[in-house]
Amino acid sequence: MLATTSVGRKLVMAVTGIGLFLFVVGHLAGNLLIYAGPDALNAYALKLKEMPYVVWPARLVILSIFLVHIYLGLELYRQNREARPDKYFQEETLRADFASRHMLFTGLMILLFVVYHLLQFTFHAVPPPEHIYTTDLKGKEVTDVYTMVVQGFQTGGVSAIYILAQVFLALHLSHAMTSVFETFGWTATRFRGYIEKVGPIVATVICFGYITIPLAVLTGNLRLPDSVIEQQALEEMETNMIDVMPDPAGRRGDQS
Amino acid sequence: MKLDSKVPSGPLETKWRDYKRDMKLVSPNNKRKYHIIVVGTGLAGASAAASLAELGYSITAFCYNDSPRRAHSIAAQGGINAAKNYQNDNDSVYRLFYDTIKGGDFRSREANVYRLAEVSTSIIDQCVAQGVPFAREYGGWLDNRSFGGAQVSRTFYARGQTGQQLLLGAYQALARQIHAGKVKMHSRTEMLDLVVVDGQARGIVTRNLVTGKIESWAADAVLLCTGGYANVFYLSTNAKGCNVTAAYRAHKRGAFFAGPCFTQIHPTCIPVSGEHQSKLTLMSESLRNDGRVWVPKSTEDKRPANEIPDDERDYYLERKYPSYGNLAPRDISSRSAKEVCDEGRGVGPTGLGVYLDFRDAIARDGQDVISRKYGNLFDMYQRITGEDPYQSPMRIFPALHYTMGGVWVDYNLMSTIPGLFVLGEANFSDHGANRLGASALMQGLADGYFVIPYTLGNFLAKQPKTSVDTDQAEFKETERAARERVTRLLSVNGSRTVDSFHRELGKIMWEYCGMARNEAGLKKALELIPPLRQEFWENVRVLGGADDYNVSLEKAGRVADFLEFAELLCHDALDRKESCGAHFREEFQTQEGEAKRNDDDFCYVSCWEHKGENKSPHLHKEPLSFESVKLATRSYK
Amino acid sequence: MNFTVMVWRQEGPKKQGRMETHKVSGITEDTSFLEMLDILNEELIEKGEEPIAFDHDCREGICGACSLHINGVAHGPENTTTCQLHMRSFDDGDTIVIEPFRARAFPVIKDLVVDRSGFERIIEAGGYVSVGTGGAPDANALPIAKDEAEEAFDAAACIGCGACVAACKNASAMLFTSAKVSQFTHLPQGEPERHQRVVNMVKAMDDAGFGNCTNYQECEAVCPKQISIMNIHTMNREYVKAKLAGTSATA
Repeated sequence: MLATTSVGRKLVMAVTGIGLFLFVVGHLAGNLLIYAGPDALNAYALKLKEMPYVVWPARLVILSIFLVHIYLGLELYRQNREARPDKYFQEETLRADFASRHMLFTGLMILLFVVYHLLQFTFHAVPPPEHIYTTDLKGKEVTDVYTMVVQGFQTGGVSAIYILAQVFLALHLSHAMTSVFETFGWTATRFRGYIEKVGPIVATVICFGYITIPLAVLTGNLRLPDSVIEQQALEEMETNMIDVMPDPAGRRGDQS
Repeated sequence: MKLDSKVPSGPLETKWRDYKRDMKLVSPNNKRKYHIIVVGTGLAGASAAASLAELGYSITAFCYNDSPRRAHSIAAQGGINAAKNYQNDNDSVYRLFYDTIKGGDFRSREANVYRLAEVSTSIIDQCVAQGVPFAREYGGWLDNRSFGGAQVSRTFYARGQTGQQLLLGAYQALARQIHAGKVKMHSRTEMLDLVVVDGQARGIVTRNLVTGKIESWAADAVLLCTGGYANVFYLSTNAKGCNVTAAYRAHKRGAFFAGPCFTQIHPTCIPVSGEHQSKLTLMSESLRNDGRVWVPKSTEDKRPANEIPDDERDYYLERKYPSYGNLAPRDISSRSAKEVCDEGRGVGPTGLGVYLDFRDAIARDGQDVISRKYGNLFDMYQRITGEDPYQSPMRIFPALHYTMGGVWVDYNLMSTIPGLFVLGEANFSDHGANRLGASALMQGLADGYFVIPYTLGNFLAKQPKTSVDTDQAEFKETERAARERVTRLLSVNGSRTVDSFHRELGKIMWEYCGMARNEAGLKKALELIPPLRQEFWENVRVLGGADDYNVSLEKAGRVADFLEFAELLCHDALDRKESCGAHFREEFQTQEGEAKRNDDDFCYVSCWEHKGENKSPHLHKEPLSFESVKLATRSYK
Repeated sequence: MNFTVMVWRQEGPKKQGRMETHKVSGITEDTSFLEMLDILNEELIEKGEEPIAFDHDCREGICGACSLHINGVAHGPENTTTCQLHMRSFDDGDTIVIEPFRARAFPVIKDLVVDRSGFERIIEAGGYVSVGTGGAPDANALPIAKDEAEEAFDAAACIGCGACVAACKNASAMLFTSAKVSQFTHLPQGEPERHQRVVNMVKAMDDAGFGNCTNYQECEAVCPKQISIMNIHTMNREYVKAKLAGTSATA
């Protein structure tokens, strides 16, 4: 019902946007556990897995928020284009920054990235890594998320995708965060200067937080656990032995 | 025809109250059966249309702009007077009345002016209730300033945009009634003629400016709120579209036109910069509080202003009027500027300008103080002229600004055609020969909010309701004439543009009927105008068709009327062999060059009756009698 | 000064338009932009061509009639109304591109003239205090803090020219609509109708076919009266409050 008016639609965009923003912050907090070592991250992953009654509803909620946000974003874009059917012969831009003018583009890039990210790390449909290891956590056999991440980012191209995606996310957030204040009218003239800086600053911080992980992997500051390195060495030997035959799983032999 | 001003009897102070008590009323459920046409939706029109619609009348309103919000009332800067006495400076209804009638040089009707002063207080109440953001003091109370030489602070203002805020207030009240379906608004529609049936105004003929459709509208009464005719001078501070057509058409249909020669000139406008000039821009008179007016003493002196030493400058207003100095009234300072320019001492590229210098004020108060007071005016000046008034003096020159004359109306605001009411600047009633600052807004709103809702009801209730239909012969005939005129304008197909005629007419009027007039000049103008009009009808080039948006056609119709009306104005100026208010006849001045009024022979309202094409108009006189005030001579020495 | 003028010509509503090129010469720098067009129009008429139609009236920057999109910017390069723009703002020999304000809600009537009646509908929907003539209490019965009165004035200074819509990449009318909502939010007179006003005006704005606000701030950048986008914040806040109070649009 709200979404039938322009201001209402913007409100829904803002509310869903805030939801997604909170998810992004939470996700970042989880990710940063990687710096506390494999066990901390893997324990966190396990904890999530052990609470399906929380995680699955949460996932559903996030997914629906995401879908609503995307749907309304596309809808707004369509309406806004229709609001000016005849384009100007010459049109200058005086104030609107890059981020504000490319919300749809950065949003769609983020969508593509999310799909890729899920395929890679959640559904393991896209390598790297080719192989998901398990590890022993306090006597339990659990997925070795830490290794998965580090392996994933050891490929320069993959890290580049992640870093680029974070830049898109930062651009998207920098305009979104400021606009949220407009949409809810949470400002007074005297705070305007601060509000307009909130978006870019928060976006930069979040973006930086995420980017440190692939960078840390690429620069060797986050390394695979020794046990995995040993296991890999073992596997490599096996691979070399069967390398004469084509591999149906498509594993590439040059993987180091 | 006998002119009856219908001023009620009784003491001045209670005339309006007693008159209202005796008025007849239209019963509430009958009001919607009455159709009222309102032409023009500026301050007077919008306030009238809204107020009448609130009462229950069925209103059809018209304006030539795309929105009522663009009417030229919007450009009034200074403020609006009201006898609120909020400053405890001993203001009163009587004092406002007296100032207004004296300012008008005793050429207005006592009873009307008193009523104006009386309802002025309700206007402020009404506008504040509408949410008009008037200036306030820190305590939250309304602020006032003194304006136009008044000795009390009674002017309410909203920065330099009082007219805008008041118009928007009235426009929004109108919008509310449009939304409620009580007012049918037709914008981009121009009135071409008035329809008179059985001696009464019963409708109008309009042209839709977008589609070109010519249409008739029937009603029980017609209200003209169509503003003034300053554009007869081509260059004026009026908006480009302001015109006399509706008022003049009504005049040709039998409405007397009163005091057309009373045209006010504003002393502080930005001078003409060249032939291309399309309009003049007024700058608030408040500038004269701190600026000093001067020209070089010598006609030979062509040095830049700042290089002219003080003893070679002539601060002529301070010299001639030591007690008022630079604050001398509008007409006096305007004429003085013309005099020095006629002597060849004018400044600027055209020689038609005098300096308004803030050097001393800036030295005294600092640039900050001056900038706080006048910053936006200085910016505006710089934007238009490209010169920085903080560095070199402004150049100013008088320009046509407001017209006190208009369609003659009685105390009820009804013209000599029953059923035709005229409100605001379009009527003549309240300002006499000269209007005081901050009084135009007051009059427009007084007429619309507080006079017409009563007098119109009284008019309607006093006669049996008769029905009219646009199929009647009178409508068909008027419509046909309007169509024919459009066709005629389009078919001349000559070689001169409409604007070139308008410019030429303006030059004649400014030269011979402008700030100072004399018999020879006026006769000359009366010789020049008819051939110009003839040439217009033989040689004007109006391109395009009748059935679409045709700007040239619009303009042509208006200029054609100006070409006739100009003659009426000159006739009036010629007849009035006295100097009073804004009308200055060079033959009638004191030895010191002051206006010399002639109360013995000219204490009347000149009411002109149209006698037919190319015939001299006939003068009727409405004698003015003053019961409450003594006729005094203005002195600003 | 000499200029090449590229101007949009369109015979009527729903007709196909095109850009047309004209030379104008001998213009002085003190000539206003509209006077330059007047001169061009006189020349066109003398050549037997129809003059270029454009909206204008007061020519002193207050009526809001003029509405040209010049060199890609609503009202041109000086952050004024078109009528206050002078040729000294251009260089001799410049090519000047003149287009109408473009928006679905502002259909072209002819050449550079557009129909801005969408703005009328917005004001009609609630841009007023519902007070009838004659019922008002004494003006000083209601003190209003100077700051609030000033803020109300800042919003009320809008001239309804439509440059905000023309400049907005979404052709949104939020700045226009919010200025009126905001004026009454700052004044006690607006209090009784505050919920209904904002909901009705937003609906009228949507119905007129304007786009949505995405906070580009282009509107504020071109507004000749410096109406602040903070008014949009105010309106959005009012809208949320009205919705939380369960207000829905009437009519």
